Amino acid sequence: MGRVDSAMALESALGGRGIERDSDEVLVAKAREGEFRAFEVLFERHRDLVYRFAYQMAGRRDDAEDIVQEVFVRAYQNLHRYRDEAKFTTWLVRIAANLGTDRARMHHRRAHLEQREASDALAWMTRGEPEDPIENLDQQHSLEALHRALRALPEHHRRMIILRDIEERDYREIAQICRCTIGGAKLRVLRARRALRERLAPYFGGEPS
Amino acid sequence: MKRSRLDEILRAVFDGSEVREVPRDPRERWEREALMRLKADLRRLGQSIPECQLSVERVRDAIFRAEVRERRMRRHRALATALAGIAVLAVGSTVGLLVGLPDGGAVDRGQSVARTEPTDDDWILLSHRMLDRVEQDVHKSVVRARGEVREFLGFKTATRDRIVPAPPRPEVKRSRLVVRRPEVPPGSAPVAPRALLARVDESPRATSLASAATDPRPEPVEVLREMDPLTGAAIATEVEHHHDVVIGG
Repeated sequence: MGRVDSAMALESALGGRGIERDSDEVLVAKAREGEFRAFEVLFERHRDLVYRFAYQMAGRRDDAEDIVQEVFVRAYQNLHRYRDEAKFTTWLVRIAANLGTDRARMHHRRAHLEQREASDALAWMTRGEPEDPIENLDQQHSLEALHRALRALPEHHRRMIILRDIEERDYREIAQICRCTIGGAKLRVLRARRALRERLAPYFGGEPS
Repeated sequence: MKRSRLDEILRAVFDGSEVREVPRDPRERWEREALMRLKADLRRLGQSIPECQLSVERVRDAIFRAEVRERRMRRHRALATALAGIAVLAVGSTVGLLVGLPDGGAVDRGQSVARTEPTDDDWILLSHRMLDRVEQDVHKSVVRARGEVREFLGFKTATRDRIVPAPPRPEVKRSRLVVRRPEVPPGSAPVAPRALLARVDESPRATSLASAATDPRPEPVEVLREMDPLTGAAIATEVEHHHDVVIGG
């Protein structure tokens, strides 16, 4: 009896370890068959990736967690629609991007207020010389100002900056997320960088040394 | 700075593509350095993210609640669809009733509508046909009965050939003939049927048949002579006695 129990425990332990070793495609297939544990493994595996993107899009931790939760709820409900052509993470980020767009539309008014705050921060950034050692040491403040400027960007530009320059995804994956060609993705990223640069014009407008 | 030049520097800084010319303009150089700082800051921005505290239990609960909500929505959708169908049917039947009314307005007054109802002329024609058919049947029956009566009686009988229907007849010539039955002593003559079948015309046979009646009572019989307008045959009608006389000929 004890031997049987230990064998079952060993089997379950091996099975549990096995499911965590499975690839995304295998886990998706198991989740489609109703094995919720497989979906939990998928969640634990890709939670941080989706959260990073959501945090950059929303700018707040609680908002980002809400987005991540909604992303995985929608992913579970639409598992039958997922095709193996794209990576599972790409599919998740696409859902997160769509959710981010929806939220951006909902919080359009709040974004205007934050944009004004970002302008104030940029004004503070351009008070002194760019190479002023005192101001360059205040990296945290600088990052916060950049973060605000990023959030003040239109959602489609912000998404491109996050995907390419913060998350460092390749253009092919960006094209899959945005459902466009690779050339189209490059063009969108370029436009987004140009928009960010214009928004940070005071930062770039200092006299060269 | 031209936009194309700026795009070139942007691509060179962020994507590592080669720049056609090394920027000699101090402004371009400064732009390039600022963009490189921006790139580094963006990378740092991606690293300064607080930890995600979303638990598996929370996601599991959210999925469960979403499924319950979805089922409820599906049920409500089905109910709403059924109610909408019932409403459409009700509206449709109401509209149909309104349109079907005589003054509902759906049928143009100038529009001709085919009707199967017979007109008054059709009714008259049909009644005439039915009357003709009844008349023919009655005639056949009478003729057949007359033949049977003749066979039963053993001699030729006179009967009316045709039963004339109700419509008013044209004027006929009438003449009155009074036949007085002769007195016959009882037990002397052969027994003849009491019913005397007579063709009341002036033929000698009919007169002899009429006079051969065996009724001992010498009562006069008044017979109206007339002409059948349809057949032209002579007919007779007993006026004072409704029996013992068979009309026709």
